[in-house]
Amino acid sequence: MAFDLLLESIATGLLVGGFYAALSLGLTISFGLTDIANVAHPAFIFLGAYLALALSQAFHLDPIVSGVVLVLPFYFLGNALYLFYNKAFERRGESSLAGLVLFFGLLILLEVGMASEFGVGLKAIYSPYGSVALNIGPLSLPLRFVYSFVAGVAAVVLLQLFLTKTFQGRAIRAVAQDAQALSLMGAKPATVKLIATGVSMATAALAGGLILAVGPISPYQDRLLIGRVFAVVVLGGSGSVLGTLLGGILLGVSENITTIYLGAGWSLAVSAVILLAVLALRPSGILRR
Amino acid sequence: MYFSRGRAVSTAILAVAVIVILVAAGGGYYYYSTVYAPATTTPIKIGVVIQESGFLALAGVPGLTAIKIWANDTNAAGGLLGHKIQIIAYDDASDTSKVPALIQKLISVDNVDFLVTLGTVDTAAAMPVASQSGKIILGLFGTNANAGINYSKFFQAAPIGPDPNYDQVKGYFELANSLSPKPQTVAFVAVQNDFGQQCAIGGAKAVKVFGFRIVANETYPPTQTDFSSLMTKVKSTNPDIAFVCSYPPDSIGIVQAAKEVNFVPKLMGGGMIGPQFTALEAALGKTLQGVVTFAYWVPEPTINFPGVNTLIQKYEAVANASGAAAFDPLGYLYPPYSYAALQMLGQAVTACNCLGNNDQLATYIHGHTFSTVGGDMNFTSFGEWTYSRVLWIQYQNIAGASVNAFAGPGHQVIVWPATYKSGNLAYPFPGWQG
Amino acid sequence: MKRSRAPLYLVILLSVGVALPIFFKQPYFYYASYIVLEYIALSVAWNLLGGYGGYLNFGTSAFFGVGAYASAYIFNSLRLPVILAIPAGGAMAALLGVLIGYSTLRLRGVYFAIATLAATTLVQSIVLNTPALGSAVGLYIRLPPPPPPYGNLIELLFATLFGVTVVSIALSYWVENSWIGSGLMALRDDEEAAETMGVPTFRLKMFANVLSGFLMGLVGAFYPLYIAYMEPYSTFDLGISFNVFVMTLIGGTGTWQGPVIGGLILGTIQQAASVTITSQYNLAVVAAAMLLFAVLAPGGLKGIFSKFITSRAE
Repeated sequence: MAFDLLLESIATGLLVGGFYAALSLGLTISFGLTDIANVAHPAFIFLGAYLALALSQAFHLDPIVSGVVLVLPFYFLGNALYLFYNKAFERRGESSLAGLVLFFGLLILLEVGMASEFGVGLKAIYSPYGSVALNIGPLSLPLRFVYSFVAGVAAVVLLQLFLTKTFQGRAIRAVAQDAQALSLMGAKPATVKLIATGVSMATAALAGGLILAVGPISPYQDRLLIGRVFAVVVLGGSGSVLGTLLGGILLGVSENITTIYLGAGWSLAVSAVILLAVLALRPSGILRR
Repeated sequence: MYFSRGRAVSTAILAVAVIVILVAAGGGYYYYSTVYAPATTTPIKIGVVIQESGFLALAGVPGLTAIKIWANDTNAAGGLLGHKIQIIAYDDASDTSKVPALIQKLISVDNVDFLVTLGTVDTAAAMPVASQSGKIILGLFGTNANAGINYSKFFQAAPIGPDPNYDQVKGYFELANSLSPKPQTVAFVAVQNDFGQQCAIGGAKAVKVFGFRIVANETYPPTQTDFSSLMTKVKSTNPDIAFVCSYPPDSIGIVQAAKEVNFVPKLMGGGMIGPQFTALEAALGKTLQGVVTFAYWVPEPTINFPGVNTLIQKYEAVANASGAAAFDPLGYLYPPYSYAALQMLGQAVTACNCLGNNDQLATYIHGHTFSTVGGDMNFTSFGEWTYSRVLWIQYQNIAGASVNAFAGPGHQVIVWPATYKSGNLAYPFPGWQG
Repeated sequence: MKRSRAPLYLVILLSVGVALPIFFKQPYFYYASYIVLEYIALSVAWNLLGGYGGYLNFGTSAFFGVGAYASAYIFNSLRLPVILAIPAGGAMAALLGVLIGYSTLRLRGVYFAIATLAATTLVQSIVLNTPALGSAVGLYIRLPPPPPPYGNLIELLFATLFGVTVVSIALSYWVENSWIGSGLMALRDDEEAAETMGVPTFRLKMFANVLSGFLMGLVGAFYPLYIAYMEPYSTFDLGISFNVFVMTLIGGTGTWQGPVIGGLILGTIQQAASVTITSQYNLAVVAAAMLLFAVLAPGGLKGIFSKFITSRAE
């Protein structure tokens, strides 16, 4: 009996981990590769979630499908964000610290915007698989997390292919290491960062759809995500897409194992200790960049 | 040397800027309160510190809406003792640290006559400041908000009862105790916030009183996303009763997870805040069928207090006018007793005819019973209700996942207490549907 | 010559802070100013490591909260005198600084920043699981009566916090002008170069971190007396950490005046907005102010002042 419990917690931990990874992909790209600490990323995820809600209600779409539909528009939104950031900060050579202030202000403005447009309360959408589980042997795998896991892993694989096989992708990885050398080789760092920020924002759209599929949303939940998302990025190795998946899984599984043996009340403390241990012992993360 | 002329001048400018800002801010505060005054005869000012934004706004906004409806109703009827009601409301953004300053501004700058706050945390933080001022404070909902000071001029809006954490949940266990065969074991699942923990403490008291055995005692953080492991763990202890103390997002997650892992206790539910919110009910639909939660008011014919249906209609008109930004379109949970509390105050002010004398008014309130949209209310010496009228409802006859499936009578059937019972409990819990 | 006037300014300022509540009786002013002072003091403390040393601490609320809970436990639960509880709060926070510093200050700055974020979650979770600290139910604080000539506890709190803020500013001024400050700024600009020049970078960082933590804990130690009902969510709120960071950046890092300007201006804007602009839009105003300052004065307002002065001087 106890073994079944352990199996269930590891299995669902894996699923939730994929979900966490999907939420953190955008941050690992912007923070890890382009050095733009976009703390407003969780707010953009929720913007995606609310827009996905509107789409789903209007066209009777599944939330994850709505998220996918929003990927392209959000790519352009990311481009716009980078252009503004570039004009306001990078061109003037100011430190990325001032950029942090910008993003934090943006986070608050997004919250206020979402609250006034969509209301301050919780909103949720009914989906036919909302409380249905896939039963495999002793395991009960919630479908909403299974689909989120699949979507998250797909995003990770696609991004990894993009970053390793395409010219733009390799340029993005290169700009993280040496922007000057990159420009000497013919690719403009600014263009590369433009693309990267677009990609980062596009993942926020997908993440928004996933958040909506998994549970109810409110404009103020974004702050609760900040700590988790940074933890996943750092655990996995900032800038490494595969690392983000591993970091997410590590976080998800540890939360569940803690639930079983210590009680869920300690899960956040245990996650924090794991993060602190990784920072102290192997700071660049599981998969170093 | 270090302190060059340039730095001296810049520091001087800094000092001047500091003084200018302080003077401007101070002047601004005074201007706002003393020069800006409504034109008519002195209004009765009701100062409200409430959550209009932040994660508790789902309680604060409906509550404030009900308060404003009461003010409009009262002014339409000529006001109280000839004075119009003026509501001055500040948003604390669900942040406790803002409360003392906002309450103090209402007291010493805006010169309000009465204070209103909502929720345990805000009310408890406001209590010392209110107590110093000697003003009457209405605390809407919240558990044991007055436990720290026992201020004599605090009055609770919700019909919780004299021992708040016990009275809030005892009905669930009384109900269980009355079933036959009597269930034996209970699993506790509580969220780590003030409501969840007070609920669990009350539940522990009830377990002793009614003779149950606790087989699981779990807590979880409010940010928990996936409850599969937690529910599987609880399921493995095989409890007859599940007693869940939860807040909106997690209530939903727990119900979903219980269904997913097929956790079927004989009695499922508890002090769950969340299922009462329309948007969440509509998303869960049939999944809620059979779950037992508490309510303060539902549109059942057995609890039709005078005026409450009119209030709900007015509330729904306001809520629906906000369009996409609508919150809690049905409004069963917070509006009725928010309105009732102000009604009580209005009746007391009129009957006592002692505006300006808070001691006399408080004594009057303590000594009388008031008839409101929330039924009859009277208070103990520390401001809680003398009796408990927390309702326990079971979701029944849910057709599907829509707002209409939950609107009107017959869907949130009152199964406890006997006085207001509007239907029988489907026992044991038939299993998850939808 | 001018340098010896500093103690005089100090005494004058402290006297103003102590005497003001005796003559000016408006409780709201003190309740609102308390929060502004709190943020000024926290920002000044933050700047010691963040501005001078370049190591960003995102766990201000962890240090603040540790000070608050330690202090509350000592005078509220153990019933020891408040005068002992306050420095104890600072000491506990300093201890937290030692722990975090030892494990992460030898590494790059970004790891320290994330570690402070993790520390906030950890400490909050510990408090939530500890009934002796009130856990999630919260602590009801027994407020002591104010000693005369103060008629109201908030007046005493204001005077004391004002004093703590002034002392923090003085400490910051002293650090900035001492070899410690120079060493910190050297390692901020180029840590490797500083080390090769013999600057004891780790010890300087530890010193700044522990002093910063101590001051933050000291400020937090007063909080239970202000709020009277303390629970872990608003006490360890991430918003405190972000606010402090934003205020210091807006004012200008790396000088003692910066956090004072930033804390004063943004703090006052926040207080004014909360009572003049309805509901959630007051947050929008604050955010808009942040964006404006960030874009127009990315080097900090203090920088603007300085440029203005130097350009006039030419």
